[in-house]
Amino acid sequence: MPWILVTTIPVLMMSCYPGGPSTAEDIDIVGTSYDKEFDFSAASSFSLPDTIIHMVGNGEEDSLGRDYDIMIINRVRDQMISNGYTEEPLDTLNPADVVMLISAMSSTNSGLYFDPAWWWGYWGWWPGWSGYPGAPVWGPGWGYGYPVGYPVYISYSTGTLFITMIHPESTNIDEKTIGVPWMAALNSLLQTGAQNTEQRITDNIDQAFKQSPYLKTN
Amino acid sequence: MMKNIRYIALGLSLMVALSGAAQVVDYYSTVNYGISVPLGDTKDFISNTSFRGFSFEFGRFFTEEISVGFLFAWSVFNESFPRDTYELEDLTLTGNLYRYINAFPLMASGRYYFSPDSKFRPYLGLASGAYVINKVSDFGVHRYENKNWHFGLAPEAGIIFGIGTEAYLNLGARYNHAFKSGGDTHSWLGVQAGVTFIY
Repeated sequence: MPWILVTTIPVLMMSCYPGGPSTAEDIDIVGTSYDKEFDFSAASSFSLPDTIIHMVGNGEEDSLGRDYDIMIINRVRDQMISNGYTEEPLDTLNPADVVMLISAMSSTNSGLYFDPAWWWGYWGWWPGWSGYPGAPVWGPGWGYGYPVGYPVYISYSTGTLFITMIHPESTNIDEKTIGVPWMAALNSLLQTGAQNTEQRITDNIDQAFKQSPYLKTN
Repeated sequence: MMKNIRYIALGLSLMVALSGAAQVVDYYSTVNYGISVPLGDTKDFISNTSFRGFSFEFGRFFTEEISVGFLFAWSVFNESFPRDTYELEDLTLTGNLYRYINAFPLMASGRYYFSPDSKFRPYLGLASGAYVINKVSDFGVHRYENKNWHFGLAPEAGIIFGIGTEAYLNLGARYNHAFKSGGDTHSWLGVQAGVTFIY
């Protein structure tokens, strides 16, 4: 019955996907997650390091540009302020309640995902930690205490932007984790050559806050 | 895979058993364009009518009235959902959602044709066999795919109209029902038009 093969082979080979995404923003995803136990209304101040960390896989080149770094940091700052938080400068004796850390995935290795154990490696240098009572015990091997209890495995394509809200007071010495009340992953955002990149970044950062109404303290 | 081949074989043997003693040795081939209207669970997933479909059939007449053959078809359903926010357990996700169904019936088909001496020959039929159905959701760069083989039945009604010594126009409707497999049941109504050659 060769005709069964003739008709079966295309079935196993083909599928057609008409009417799919046609522009870069069509595949943008904004994902957020939060710690339901965390009392956001008790947090009123934030600090924001003026750097976006690029997470690069071992042996890989950093393929992301930094054209949008300042814009991204400013947009996150604007959103925090409009949600009722006050920005605190670094190195104060009275540190801010939460710290906003911004990172971008710069890896072409599709098997690489966001490893929470990198947290110290990427952010340990930040001088703002000195203001926190728990800071002296943190070190290599420390990771995020995820708001949902497990890492959020959105498939992190190159250019995915992470906005992580850190609550240094929620330090778990036994688990070696630092509290994360909220995090956002903006997928496929910084793809090179995409149109309207600035507008997409702005819209997606705004969307991350918009879909997280519990962040509002005012 | 063996189970799937068994579905087809079961369908074929059913049709052969129905056909009885061979009196006429005419073969037929049909090519149809098809429109498919989703029903039931299929409609819950994609509500758009599919305008991308074709079917190909061939087989033989065992009497003036009865034919048995093989049917292969392909229907593509798709629907896109504008940017929206979805709650998924502890995650909130905003993005565009795209859904697709690629359905491939691979079936044995039996028909009874009325009015042997007329140019207009209405028919009733039943197809039985396998459906390969690939159900896909795209969300951003993520693809969720559920591809299954289903056992299925497809009753049909239609008419062929002679336009030449061997050529006929075909117009028919077929209800496709793919029984539950991999958690999914599918059904749709197909309307097809095409050309049949009896030779």
